[in-house]
Amino acid sequence: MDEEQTSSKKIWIILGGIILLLLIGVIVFLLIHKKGTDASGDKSIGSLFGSSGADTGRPSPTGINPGTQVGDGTAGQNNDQGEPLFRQLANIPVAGATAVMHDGKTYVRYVSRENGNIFEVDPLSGVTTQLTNTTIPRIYEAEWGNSGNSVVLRYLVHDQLSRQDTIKTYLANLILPITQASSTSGQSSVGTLKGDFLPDNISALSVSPDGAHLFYLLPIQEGVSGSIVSIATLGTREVLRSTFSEWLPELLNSGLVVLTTKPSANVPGFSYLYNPLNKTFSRLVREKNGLTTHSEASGNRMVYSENISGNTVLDLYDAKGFLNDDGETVHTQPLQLSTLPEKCVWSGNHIRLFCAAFSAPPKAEIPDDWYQGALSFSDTFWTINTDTSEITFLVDPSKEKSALRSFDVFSPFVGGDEKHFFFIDKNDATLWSMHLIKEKFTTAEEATAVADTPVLTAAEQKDALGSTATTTSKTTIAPPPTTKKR
Amino acid sequence: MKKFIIVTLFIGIFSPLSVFAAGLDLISISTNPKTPGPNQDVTISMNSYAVDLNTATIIWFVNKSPSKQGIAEKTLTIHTGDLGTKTIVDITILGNTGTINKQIVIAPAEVDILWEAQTYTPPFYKGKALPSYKSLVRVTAIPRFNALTSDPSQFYYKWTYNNIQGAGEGLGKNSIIIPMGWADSKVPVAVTVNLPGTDWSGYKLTNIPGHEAKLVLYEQAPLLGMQFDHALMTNQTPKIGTGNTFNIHAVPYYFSTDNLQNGELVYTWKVNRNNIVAGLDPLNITVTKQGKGEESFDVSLRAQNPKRILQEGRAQSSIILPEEK
Repeated sequence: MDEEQTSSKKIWIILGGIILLLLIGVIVFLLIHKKGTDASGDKSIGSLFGSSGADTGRPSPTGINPGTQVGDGTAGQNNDQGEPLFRQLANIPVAGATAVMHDGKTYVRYVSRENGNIFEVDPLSGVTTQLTNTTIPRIYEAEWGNSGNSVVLRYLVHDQLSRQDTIKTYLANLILPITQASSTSGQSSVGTLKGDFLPDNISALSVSPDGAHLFYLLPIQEGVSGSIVSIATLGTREVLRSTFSEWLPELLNSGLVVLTTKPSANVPGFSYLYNPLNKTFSRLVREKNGLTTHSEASGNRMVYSENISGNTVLDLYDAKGFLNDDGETVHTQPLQLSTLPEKCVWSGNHIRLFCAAFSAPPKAEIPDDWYQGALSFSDTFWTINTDTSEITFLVDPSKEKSALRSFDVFSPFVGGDEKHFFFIDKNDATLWSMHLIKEKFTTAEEATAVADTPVLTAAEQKDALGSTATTTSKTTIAPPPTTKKR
Repeated sequence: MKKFIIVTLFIGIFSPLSVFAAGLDLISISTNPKTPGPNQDVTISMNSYAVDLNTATIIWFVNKSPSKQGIAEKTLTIHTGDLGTKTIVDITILGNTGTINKQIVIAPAEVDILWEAQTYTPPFYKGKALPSYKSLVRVTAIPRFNALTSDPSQFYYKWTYNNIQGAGEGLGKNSIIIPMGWADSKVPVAVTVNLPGTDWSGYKLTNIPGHEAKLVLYEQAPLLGMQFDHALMTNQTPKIGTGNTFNIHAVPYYFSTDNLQNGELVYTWKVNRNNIVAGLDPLNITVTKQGKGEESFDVSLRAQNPKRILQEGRAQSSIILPEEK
């Protein structure tokens, strides 16, 4: 009897343990799925960025295929695999896109401007997969972080009574179903967005090139405040107060911020490197009419444009400087290309630039007219070695069979393999890729690539960024940026 | 040993500079440019009504090293250093009245003047808000006596505009608000910046150009929102719409934000030359097709600011709504 009772007790204990484990499992499951908010603005519980880092998986293609291939794929300057030079990756208006790497390949993720849905397209095949179906209508800007797994969506809410527009900024994670699960169930499942809102009316925003942090400017009574946010933890730290508010920021991986005054064709502009640690501005470029800038990730080099007698001229700023004919060190030099930095993207080697360039019509006020939608460009594609100033013509799309149209390029980017130059055509906001045929330009500079050297120590970066900085290298402070006027 | 009176010469029109001259004012010293910047050639000249410099032997030292010597050598060209670097020039004049020593210190400094008009640009606009007739402009000084800027609250600022009008001064007052004049005129604004307790001083003058306010029309698409990338232009071919209606949104670029927020602007919409009363939001109208055939609409808008009467703008565009199929 005792043996029977003991054995019965054991069974009950085991059963109880199993039930307890099941209960814990159910509770944990429910808690996980309750975290975060949806786009309707419900507040979240706990961390919103638990899935930072590696992608959690992608649904299989759904049949929704906004991407189409233009041309027959054999025309124009095809590569060995017969890839067309230009390919339309999305024929719907796109608010923002980025390149992601998984399964050893580069893909492009983009946000539909119309409804905020996110898609992923294979630039080699044009096959598109819908990743999320969270609907947020009329997205004006989309920025990406966290290796393409987080997105910042910016849109307007108009109040008819007060006639005021409110800029909403939603920072969300892509919650993607596991591919395997969807395929075994026989249904194609689509993920969602979960995140939180940043303050209303953020006037400008920049995500660092490594996608780990963002910097935003918020108007306040005495001017503007600037804050750095960790995309993984949402930890926010105010790092700037300025009585001048018309800045366009560019957050660097090191935590420094390039702050450039908003441009107008005939107004001198200024660009500074802002150090959140000691609150100092070091001047990069000053008193250039129509100044706009685009820095490479480390901040050692920056391409900028200025308006000289109605011509848009591209120049290069280098923190270390160049030796001029007199043997003196100068920090700026012209690049023989007429374009805006917004139409250029830096290669990962920090030396090569890929740009779309234009011929501006006479009397145009650049960039004002372009920003106001009163002027459109017909771009050609170029690449520049900023070590040597060598410029290589790549292609005129209006003469390429795979395009046979003109492009007004903005929001350009390249993937990690740099096989494509991706861009949005401002004419209709569609997404395109241009195949980069590396044989057309030298890659010798890759051997002497400038190291991605942060100008702050690891500890300083962590301090400057507020949290979760991961860079560990130690370097010296950047040379004093004493730009000479040309 | 002669006594030297330290005289601080304040020189500056374009880029600020601190110059300290030592010696009696028998000899005046000037520089060209008056306010040298960093890494710049500067010519130092001397004049005197009391000393015959044409017969005097003049010896120049730059940072304690001999640089130039000779009779009637009244000028010297030097190259200034980087920001924060002082160039000390000592001059010995051996004349018939004895020996006179002078010293000037060139300490290149910069002050940037940034300004922003309190006028309207739409959300997400990356360009600059420009000042229009009688609009207000906030002007901010960023002083720099080294490669890096310092805490602006440590400096004393003295502001003027229109060359003579004081616009305020005070410790940490690195920002002022001034009114603009006519749209096609420039308003000069100058600031003198001192670091209290030191001889460092900077000066900067800038001219703020006035602009015309302007109206730009955009399509407000139901699904995509405001089409800021494509203005509806007068000189373009008519915009072809879809469906039976077309929404137009006007953006009053460079109108004063205070008047705009207070709803003080007056808008006059016309469609096919007929006055149209806008709805609750006077910046939006919708044109609607009446029949099934193609219809065209010539839309014009005039906006005027009664509080700043010469702030006005006009825009027009043509819309075609095609035949229903």
